[in-house]
Amino acid sequence: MTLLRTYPALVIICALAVGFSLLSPYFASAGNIEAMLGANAVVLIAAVGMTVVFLAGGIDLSISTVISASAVMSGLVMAATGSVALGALTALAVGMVFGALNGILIGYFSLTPFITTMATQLIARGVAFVMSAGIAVKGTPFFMLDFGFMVWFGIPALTIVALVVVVLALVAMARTTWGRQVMLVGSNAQAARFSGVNVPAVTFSVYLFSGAMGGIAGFISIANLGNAIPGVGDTLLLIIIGAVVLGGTGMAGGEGSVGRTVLGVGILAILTNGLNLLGIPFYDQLIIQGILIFVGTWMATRFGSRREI
Amino acid sequence: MTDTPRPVVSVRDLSKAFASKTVVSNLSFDIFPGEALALVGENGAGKSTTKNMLCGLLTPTSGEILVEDNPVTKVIGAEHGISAVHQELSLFGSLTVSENISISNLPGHAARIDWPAAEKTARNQIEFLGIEIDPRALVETLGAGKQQIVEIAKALLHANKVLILDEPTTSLTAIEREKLFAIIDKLKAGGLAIVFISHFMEEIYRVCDSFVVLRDGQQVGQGRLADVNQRALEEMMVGRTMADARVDLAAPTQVPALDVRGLSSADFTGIDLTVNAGEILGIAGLMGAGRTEVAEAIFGLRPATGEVRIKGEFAPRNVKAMMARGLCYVTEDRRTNGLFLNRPVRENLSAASILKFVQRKLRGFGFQGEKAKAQDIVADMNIAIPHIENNVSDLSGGNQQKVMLGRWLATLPDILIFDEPTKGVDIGAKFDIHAAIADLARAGKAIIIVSSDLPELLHITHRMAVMRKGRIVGEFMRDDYDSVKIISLAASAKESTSNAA
Amino acid sequence: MLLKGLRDIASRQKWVAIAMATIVLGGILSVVSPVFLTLSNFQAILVQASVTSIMAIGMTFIILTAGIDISVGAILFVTSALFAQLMISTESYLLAFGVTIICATSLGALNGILVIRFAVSPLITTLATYSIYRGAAIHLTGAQNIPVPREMGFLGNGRILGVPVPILILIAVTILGIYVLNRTRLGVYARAIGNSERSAKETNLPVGRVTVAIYAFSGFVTGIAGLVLLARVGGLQSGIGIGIEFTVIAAVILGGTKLTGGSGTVIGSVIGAIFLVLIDNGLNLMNASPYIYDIVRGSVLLAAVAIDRYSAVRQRAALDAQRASLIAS
Repeated sequence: MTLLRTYPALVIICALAVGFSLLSPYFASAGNIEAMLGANAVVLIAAVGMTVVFLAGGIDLSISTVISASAVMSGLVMAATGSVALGALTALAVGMVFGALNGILIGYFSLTPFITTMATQLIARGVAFVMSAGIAVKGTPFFMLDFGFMVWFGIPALTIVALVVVVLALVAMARTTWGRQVMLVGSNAQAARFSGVNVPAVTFSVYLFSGAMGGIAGFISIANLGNAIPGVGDTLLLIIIGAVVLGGTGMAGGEGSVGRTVLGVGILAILTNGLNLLGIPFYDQLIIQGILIFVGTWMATRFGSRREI
Repeated sequence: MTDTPRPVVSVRDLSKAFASKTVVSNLSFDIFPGEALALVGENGAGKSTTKNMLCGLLTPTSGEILVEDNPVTKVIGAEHGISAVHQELSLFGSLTVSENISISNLPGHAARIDWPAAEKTARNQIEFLGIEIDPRALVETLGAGKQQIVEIAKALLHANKVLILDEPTTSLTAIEREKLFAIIDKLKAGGLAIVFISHFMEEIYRVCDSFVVLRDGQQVGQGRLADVNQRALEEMMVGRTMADARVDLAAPTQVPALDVRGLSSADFTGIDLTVNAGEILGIAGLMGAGRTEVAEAIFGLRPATGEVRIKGEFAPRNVKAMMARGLCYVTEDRRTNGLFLNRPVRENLSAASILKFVQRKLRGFGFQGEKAKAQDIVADMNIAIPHIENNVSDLSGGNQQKVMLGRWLATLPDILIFDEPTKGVDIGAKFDIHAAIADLARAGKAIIIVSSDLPELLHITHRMAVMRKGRIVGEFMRDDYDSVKIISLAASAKESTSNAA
Repeated sequence: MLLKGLRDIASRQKWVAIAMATIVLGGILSVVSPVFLTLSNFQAILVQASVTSIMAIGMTFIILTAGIDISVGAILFVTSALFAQLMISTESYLLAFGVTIICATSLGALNGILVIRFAVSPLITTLATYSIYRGAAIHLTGAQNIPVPREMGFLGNGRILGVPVPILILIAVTILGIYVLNRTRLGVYARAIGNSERSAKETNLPVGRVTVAIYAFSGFVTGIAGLVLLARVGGLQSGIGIGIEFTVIAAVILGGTKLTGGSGTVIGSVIGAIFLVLIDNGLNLMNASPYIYDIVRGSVLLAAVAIDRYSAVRQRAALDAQRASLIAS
């Protein structure tokens, strides 16, 4: 019972999973689960970044198009050099440059997170489209294509990358002073300052982190889709924020966890997959998704006990 | 006033409970037109709750309020002619003066406000109060005194029977205060009843005719002010005589621990302070005198010029450096600057010294021992909670303050600055906190206490500095403490700088 | 002297800053291109800005109350879809107009009700309704592109006395917005609530009703904008309204309305939207890649908030210095 109160998202996941397996025999098959996991690696990684920003009491609207920008830049570097490692580094670097820009403006110059990241969202989108001339980047190395289909221990490689990111983030949040400081800044930035926490630096680091997550997600998106696509992130923002709040991490800061976000991503992943299997058209899925996000958030704020993992 | 005065508002057996906790019980008193009633009591005595029931922000749990002999279940301020000016003004800074004054009673149709009429009303109100304010000015551009007047003008639009003033003078200059008192006299002469809430005894005697004393939610006295002297009134408030309250303090050393020279900023100027190890220095003064600003500047939370030395050595004024040198500052505003309300008690306790709290098996990772240490502090400080994983928001004010104290004691400080250490704290917790502070001094810590609670300072300090308008205007040794002298120095309008004793 | 005077005015009336920036940008563009200073180009700019301007007027009210509405793009789409669908099934302009506007207003009101009733933040609430509204509209039209009758084009491309109809509508909605903000209780309450919700509650202002009304008003003007847009593009297209919410919010912020609520103007938001179109116009004149537009828009927005922040810091410093000299004397 306490488990249910702590993780209302878990209840929704179980209900959805049971429901869909009954409705569609294909739902619980290994092939489908594999596909579902692989398709959601990008969202999961980005949602981890967004969660940490939320926990610190901020918001990063730019993460969606930072995915696009880093994917495009990485794709271009890989096409030019053929080096996957260089491509990965480029994606990470591009993400962190945008993260640092957000972090400096919000942390050190005290600009509002909402508008600042809205502006960098536009800039990142522009970068993605300008650099790619608006079309998918050609010349993806074969390794990336293979990587997208690799399965290790029965789990898609992309998902394993995402899960490694999740575990690292979980450890960082729960077991390091950085994570603790993020929570304190999110809970009450002023009190954190009075307790000797360097609030601007922590705020900066949080946006840098989410930028890095955007970069990794962008890189993974190439493997997932086979190409670096400039519009890849455009439609992801709703899903990323939706997953975070569905998991029970609120926008007020200091409440929630990366673990909850995994559940939130799970809900949306199962929902989309199941509805697709049932042949529900995408527009009806939008309606269901919207209702679920609203009701889930409401339930999380109303009934969720405020304890993180 | 007529020969047979009839109360405009009567309160009968009024009680208020939150959850199961009774905050105010069985109040019975009358408010007469043309008179001012002083509602006095210490912090947490139930004055705010009483005020909020009178102006309709709270509904009483039991008992009744009679407005001109008609019982009302819930006061609707505007309807019953009762209005309150709260300590924290309910003004809109980005609206103009006239918009603020008439906001809850805008003239004209809802879809067509008659602004000239609103402005005229505002002008009349302001003129009546005898202050010059441009009705078109934005409220946020006005000084504290004028904002107070605007708030009163706003309240008076509804208050044709009773006007409640909650600590109306705390942010006012002496001149503004005199103007306010003149206004109150004028309102009384016009037949309005005033309920006046204040900590300042001389203000109460200047303004009021009768009084009601609250202590721990009980009504412990009422009558005419002409019949009691100040000392008797204070004794009713605190339930003990002042002389008994002083505790024995150990003699301080002569080793300077903290030395502040020429600290200046926008809020204060030329502050020189020295505290020795084992000494408790009080800083008295009115609200707005710049005391909190000085304390925050010493700790490095505010920009300022000047020099701070700790144990004789120069210390850069930033929080980290100050903490490293054993200085700590316990804020006056727990909710805004202190507590992480949606985090557990454990994290609140370890917030300032997480690395001192834990032993790490792996470099950089893990918080082993945090729980145990937090539990130790909870036991040491006598903090009443079911579990250290409870959110700190579940705690009472007194226990929250103990958590703040515990957080800073865990940093093992040598110098502690307390800002209003017992604000909004019940008597029991207050006693615990005072005892803890005295023990700290005995153990050789240097302590500064900023407090608006003068009896508290008289009670637990060795030495007291008095601040007024950003300057230190006097200093007293414990043997020469004289509350009347200290208050008059803190509140005096004169700019004389006397160095008593 | 003149500069200082202008700066004084700009610090008190935030919209003056964006107006001056617009004039400067216009000046630059008129030097760069001879076409710029023609009446027809002016009209084209205003027509182009009309949809976002009209929506920005509604958004101004929402942001004034310290709220936000991400769903306006979806409401815009719903309006267009519903109108197109109704024209096919009923062929009655009156009915289609009426139902569409009522629907847009109701969707706005629903946002307000959800925000007030369920205490979920406006951002999340309207993010959810964004998804719901858009899904519902596509469901309604079966994901088809639907043309609207030719006469409908009057609303988008017609002229009355030589003035394009969208400009007339924009002027009408602007006047309505200014009137509501300054002369009605709704407007005053909106500013008051955004400035301090605590004070608003202590003053017994009807916070809930005002919030619902504000969101409904935004829905209403978004409905009008939707009809203008539908008329201009000649039919329903699936891309209508995608991403427009950010342009609208950017226009409001550029116009000097504070995201934290309490202060802002209708005229500022309208000029902000026009400014954004001017930028596009300038880039167009320079034959810049359309993909550059986003980068420039984002940078302009950043510059605007940075300048605003800088002036606030300077103002505070000046106040501090004033207080310091008062205390030192």
